[in-house]
Amino acid sequence: MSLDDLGRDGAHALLREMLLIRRFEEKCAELYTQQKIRGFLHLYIGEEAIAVGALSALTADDNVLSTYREHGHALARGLGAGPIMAEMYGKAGGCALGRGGSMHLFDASRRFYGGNAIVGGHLPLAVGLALADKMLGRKAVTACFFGDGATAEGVFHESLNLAALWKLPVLFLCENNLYAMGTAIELHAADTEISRRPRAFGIPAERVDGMDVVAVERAVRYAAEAAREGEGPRFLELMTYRFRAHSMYDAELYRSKAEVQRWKERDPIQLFERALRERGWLDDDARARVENDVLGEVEAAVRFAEESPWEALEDLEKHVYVRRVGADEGGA
Amino acid sequence: MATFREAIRSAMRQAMREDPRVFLIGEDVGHYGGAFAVSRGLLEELGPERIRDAPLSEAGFTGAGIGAAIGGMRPIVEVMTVNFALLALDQILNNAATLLHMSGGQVSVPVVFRMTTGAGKQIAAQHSHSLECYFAHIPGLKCLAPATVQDARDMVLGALADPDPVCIFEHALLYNLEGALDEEAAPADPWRAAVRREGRDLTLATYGGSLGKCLDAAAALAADGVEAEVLDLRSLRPLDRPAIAASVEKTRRLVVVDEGWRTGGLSAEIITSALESSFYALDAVPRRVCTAEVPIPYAKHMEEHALPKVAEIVAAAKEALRG
Amino acid sequence: MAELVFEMPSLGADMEAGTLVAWRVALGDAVRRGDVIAEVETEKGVIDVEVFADGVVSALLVEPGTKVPVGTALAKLETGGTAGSGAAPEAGSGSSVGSGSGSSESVSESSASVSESVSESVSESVSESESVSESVSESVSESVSESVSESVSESVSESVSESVSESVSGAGARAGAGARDFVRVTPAARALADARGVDLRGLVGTGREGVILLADVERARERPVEATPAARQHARERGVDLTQVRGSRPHGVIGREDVARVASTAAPSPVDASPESRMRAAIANAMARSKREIPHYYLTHTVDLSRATVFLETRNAGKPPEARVLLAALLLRSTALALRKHPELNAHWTEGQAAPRESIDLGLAISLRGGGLVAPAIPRTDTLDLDALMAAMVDVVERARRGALRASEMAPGSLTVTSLGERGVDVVVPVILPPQVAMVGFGTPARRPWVVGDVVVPRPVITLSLAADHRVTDGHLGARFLARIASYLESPETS
Repeated sequence: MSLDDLGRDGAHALLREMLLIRRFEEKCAELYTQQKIRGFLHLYIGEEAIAVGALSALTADDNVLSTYREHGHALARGLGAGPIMAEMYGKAGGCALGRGGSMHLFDASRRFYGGNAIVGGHLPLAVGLALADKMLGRKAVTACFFGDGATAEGVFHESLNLAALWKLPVLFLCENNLYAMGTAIELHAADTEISRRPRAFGIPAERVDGMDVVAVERAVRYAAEAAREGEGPRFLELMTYRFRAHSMYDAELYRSKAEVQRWKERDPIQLFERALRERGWLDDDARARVENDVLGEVEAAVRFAEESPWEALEDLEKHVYVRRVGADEGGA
Repeated sequence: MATFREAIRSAMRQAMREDPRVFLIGEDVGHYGGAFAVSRGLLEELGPERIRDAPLSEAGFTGAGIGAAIGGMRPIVEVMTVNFALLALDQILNNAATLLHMSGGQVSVPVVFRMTTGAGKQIAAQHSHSLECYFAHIPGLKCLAPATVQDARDMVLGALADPDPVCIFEHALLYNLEGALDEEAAPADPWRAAVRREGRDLTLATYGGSLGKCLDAAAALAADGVEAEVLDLRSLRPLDRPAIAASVEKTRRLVVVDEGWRTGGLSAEIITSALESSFYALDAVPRRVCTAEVPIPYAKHMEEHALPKVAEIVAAAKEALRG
Repeated sequence: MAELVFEMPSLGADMEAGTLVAWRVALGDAVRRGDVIAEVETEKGVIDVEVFADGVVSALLVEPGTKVPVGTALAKLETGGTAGSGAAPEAGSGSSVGSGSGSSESVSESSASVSESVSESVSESVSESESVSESVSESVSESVSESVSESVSESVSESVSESVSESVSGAGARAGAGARDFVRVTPAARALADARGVDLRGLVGTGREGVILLADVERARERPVEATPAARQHARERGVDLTQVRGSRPHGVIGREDVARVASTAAPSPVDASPESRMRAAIANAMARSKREIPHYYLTHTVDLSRATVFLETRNAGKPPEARVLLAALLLRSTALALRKHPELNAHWTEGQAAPRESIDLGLAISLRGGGLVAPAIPRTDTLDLDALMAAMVDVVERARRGALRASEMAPGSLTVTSLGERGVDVVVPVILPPQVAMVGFGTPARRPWVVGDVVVPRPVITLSLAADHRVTDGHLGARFLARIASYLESPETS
């Protein structure tokens, strides 16, 4: 879909979504330093165009699985900034009752299945979800986000093979940010052009500029249509870059500041904003309104998280089983 | 009369006829008829969608089974042996057993994992181990070990009726076991232990492939005037701790027979459970007959030597009679 | 650290169970041998029970108000000893050690069989000072209790150490690998033994390496009776069921004395009898046995108390009432000193012969206000000076009256002294308290005509009497003994 197809309002929606992710995560970083948020916190800043572009191309019936760097996908999927923030606080109002935290955001009602932190571990799940849809005759696709690091896992290859073998409607969306944690792709991949690998399984694949939200939206839309029509899986290699550390802070010994700076010049939000201004669809007033709107939503999310209760300790053993059986029946 | 193998097949056939969401996925389950011929003939009856041959990708097709369960299906994932299931252990632990809790109760995983376990067929170390305890350790999983023909059927049906992920461990030597099979019966509750032989002098607690050995040992003991009670645990998670306590408090002596290794094994958990519940009832040190702490060897005489033997069970029982 | 199990002591051969009335210690308290750590109610009343090792209370296993069989573990002590160190009985080596029950056999006799002509003069005179001598008796009783516990624990530790070392070495032999610091017994067997009051140390385990099994405890009551030939003969004669007799010999073997004790207390008594009537029955048994078995001979000797009276008046002059020494103390001390010179009378008749005793622990017959008698022993009576003896008497009478005697005091003493002073009797003719071999009585001191030179003058006199076992001594020795007491009374400053 081109900018023209999007139209002014559609373009504003994408901008707003990307800006929400950016401001939300900046707030997360701040709250982390105040110890409101603990554990790992993997920020998506710099990669917003992928989540926003991809998810705007999917329907509510489609399944979405993501990685531990999934705040952007969760926000773009509509989980709501409040429940997501509350989850990071570990509160009962969180989208996983505080059981998952930053890395494990879930919303089954939106077919959003994590928030998966075993690298590559969710790829077989995506295959299975697509298999279920196919067997049940649902016309849904399953979008599975993963990073370049996951492509070295055995299950990456197993899953591509299974999806291709059974012609399953899976969208493999590889966010290639050039680093598997701190190991550059040149150091972890024999062939750094990841999009060549799915072709070995007969899966159509292409490289896409992951900093261009419109390009991402268009690529995912085409891929999803093909998959939905029973043509089997599709693979997109979305070139991107994370502007911040792997988790909250690291020494960034593995990359140079100059490299980071070069990529920041291709900040997806700035790129898109510039395009809208050139088109005459955005002025300073409009930009300020979007900014204020987004900041308000983030503030509300923080308030929601702050006011959310803690889950009761006696609920600890809830949700281990749907149904306790046998000698366990007396339990929670 | 039917075999253990036929009983499992019967249950799967019944389940797939009754519920379109049920399907079987695994290595060589279709055209080959199953590595242990459990699913032979089902492909012809039910077609390749329901009897789905999978590539040698244990993590891949196990994870796919989990994903399909999340997506609304009722998959039976057959893993050829528990040894290979280690390749899928990440999927079973980090996904199947974990997602419900980690998602705050949103994502349930009603999947059944069937896998062969145990030694005795001279197929050496990488096909012969009994690793049930690895799985029984995991909260979020349920674990069953059928030891009779009827249980082979009932447990498949019971597991499929359960909303949580269930592992079924089928001992390789049991597939040819013949016994009574009622294919019409409502499946027995799989989660409770069963007393397979009553006795007052000691309890032989066991499961799966060791039940026959325990019954043989009990018969030998009876010839010497010793009445052994044989407790078939059936469910390894949750363990039927009340049943263990009841039997031990009746007989005051406990011998656990477990084809797993001794160290850190199920036998340790069973004995600890008995100590916690029934310490002051015990009139003897609890004992266990387990597999020797070696990878299972190929040579027949060595393999037999490594595994629990009836004579060892009899000897342990007699030792227990002496405190 | 070794652990010592403190058990419900047997405070008499007829005692099968006792009710723990109160703990006198708390968890974590440091105790020293001789400390009273519990009060136990028996048919004879509430008895203070002391411990025979130093240590720290590590567990209190029984709640006050609970009735438990003899041998039930009541408490545990951590003692300073190291496990398996062997010889020292108080180290315990973890074996359970009773609370001196070894020396307190036949308490029923000592408490019961005092005298036909029961005297209260001693206790009465003591009780006079009781009301005014609290502070003194308190301060005195400290020093007394020290020496008491010492002497008692010595004599007790002998008998206990014997049985303990035997049972420990026995277990060690069974274990086949050196001494173990615990009784090897299965949990089920231990639970049953606790419930039934079976002493695990007395059992031989039939399990592997000698472990005691449930069946061993179940058989404990039906196991073959082990008894000496003399015991068997005695049991036949007396119609005693040996399976009902608890053997006091090593390994639980029943000796003749064990049968004798049962025979003496075997008279039927209603199960629901009151403590008083049960005590009456015990007295009846003991006295009947005494008269049946002991060939008594009797001697009397009247003595001039003039110098004794002056001696006491001089000694008590200017002292407050609670510091005064009464005649009763002088009588007791004279008897104790005389007994030193005639050790033949300081013996117990057991197994057809007299067993000499080493220490002189005179029994003191005390009539209880509710009826009945007890005769607690005052340990090492001969080592106490008059003041100490007076305090000891005050203390023991007071505690006897409120039912707070110690187990060790209930052991039969050397011989028993009875007095019916203040009741006007001239002469007491005592009935010996088995297994003792003699008893001394004092009549009422009174002014009588007394021949001094050729003149009859009024003098305060008292008549001493001796009942003695003719199997052990003859009248000649008895006469010399009485004369010796008399001579001490006649020259009290030398005593």
